[in-house]
Amino acid sequence: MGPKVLSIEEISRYIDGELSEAERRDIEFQLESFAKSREKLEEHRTVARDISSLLDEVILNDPAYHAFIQMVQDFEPRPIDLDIQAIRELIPDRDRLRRILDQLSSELYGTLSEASMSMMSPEKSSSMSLEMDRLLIEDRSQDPTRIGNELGRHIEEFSGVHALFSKAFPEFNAELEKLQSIAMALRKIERSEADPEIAVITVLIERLVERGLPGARIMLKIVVGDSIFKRDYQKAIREIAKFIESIQ
Amino acid sequence: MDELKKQLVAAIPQMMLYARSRVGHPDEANELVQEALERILKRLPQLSGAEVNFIAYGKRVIRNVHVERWRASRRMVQLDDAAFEEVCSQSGISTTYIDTLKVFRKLSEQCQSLLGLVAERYKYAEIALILEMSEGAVAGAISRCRSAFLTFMKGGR
Repeated sequence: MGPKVLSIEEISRYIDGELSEAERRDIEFQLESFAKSREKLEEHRTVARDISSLLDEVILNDPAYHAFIQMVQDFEPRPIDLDIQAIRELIPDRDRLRRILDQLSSELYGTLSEASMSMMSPEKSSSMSLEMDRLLIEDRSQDPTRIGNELGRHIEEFSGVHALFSKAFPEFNAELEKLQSIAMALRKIERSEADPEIAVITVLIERLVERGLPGARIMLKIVVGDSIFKRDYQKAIREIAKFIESIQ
Repeated sequence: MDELKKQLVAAIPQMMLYARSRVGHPDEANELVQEALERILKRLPQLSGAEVNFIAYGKRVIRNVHVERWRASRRMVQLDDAAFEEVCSQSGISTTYIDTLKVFRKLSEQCQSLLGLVAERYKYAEIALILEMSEGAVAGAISRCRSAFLTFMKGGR
């Protein structure tokens, strides 16, 4: 074979030791015969050396490299991760697994997502112990500020559906507006002076419950100071979701 | 699990280099790698039995961590050459190293992986397996990536 300018691929293979003995000899012959090839080789060698120096800096000079290796080698999975993995292996079909998990969570907590549960009151935590609930019940009843805050928040959170309520049940408008203003007032009223307002909203809400306003039961619980659990929120959200579906 | 750990360890140099090419300063780059490794390790049990390209996965996680941090701090996610040089200089590394890194970061991620792996003395056949390419494609791509590096080095685009 006569002299030729080497291709960049031939040069790369030569630099990286990816040639057979015969191929290597041929390339070296070409390099001797053609200055242009030698020039290309030098350039590509420099690139290879430069990149190697970048890696050397990381591997040889950065102590973090060894710390990272240690970190990976020392890693032990948590038992819960292994349990999850065992379940995945047992039920590899993701859809089936999702259905089972949905069913399980539905049996335990209702069917709504945690996200839906974040609505309304801060008392949504499912981890609250029964003892905490008992203490709260004792402290909750008849506290006008608490009723005002919770009720106000409840009404605000549902304000998005108020427009739908107004359309579907225009007769509820007056009660809802009145509720809202009493909730505002309760936030500022002393406990000893709150009885008339609390009596009025209790009657108002009872009327709404009777007439089936979605989500009204939870308002009654707020007013009478009943402890409110996650399932109460789920129920309220379900009622409202059903209501929205029914009018669409 | 041990096999996965071994593969992850093997990907660490490329992850570190990639992180440096994104943020410049070694400490900041190592913070990205640290967080990326923590995230990957958390998921490691779930990856058991799966074919994982840890170099690609590691880089993706680093990119995500970097973008999240950028969003949180509202800083520039991608530094320009001058800013990059300034950040690198603060760490006291040599100007030659900074110049090389500046060119390296302009390469595509695939080129960075190819040239990085070949610099780690991987054979083309091994690189082909790691990057899920044919051996022939690896050879062609490495030579093109080196040419691209040269072009950038000479100030071309």
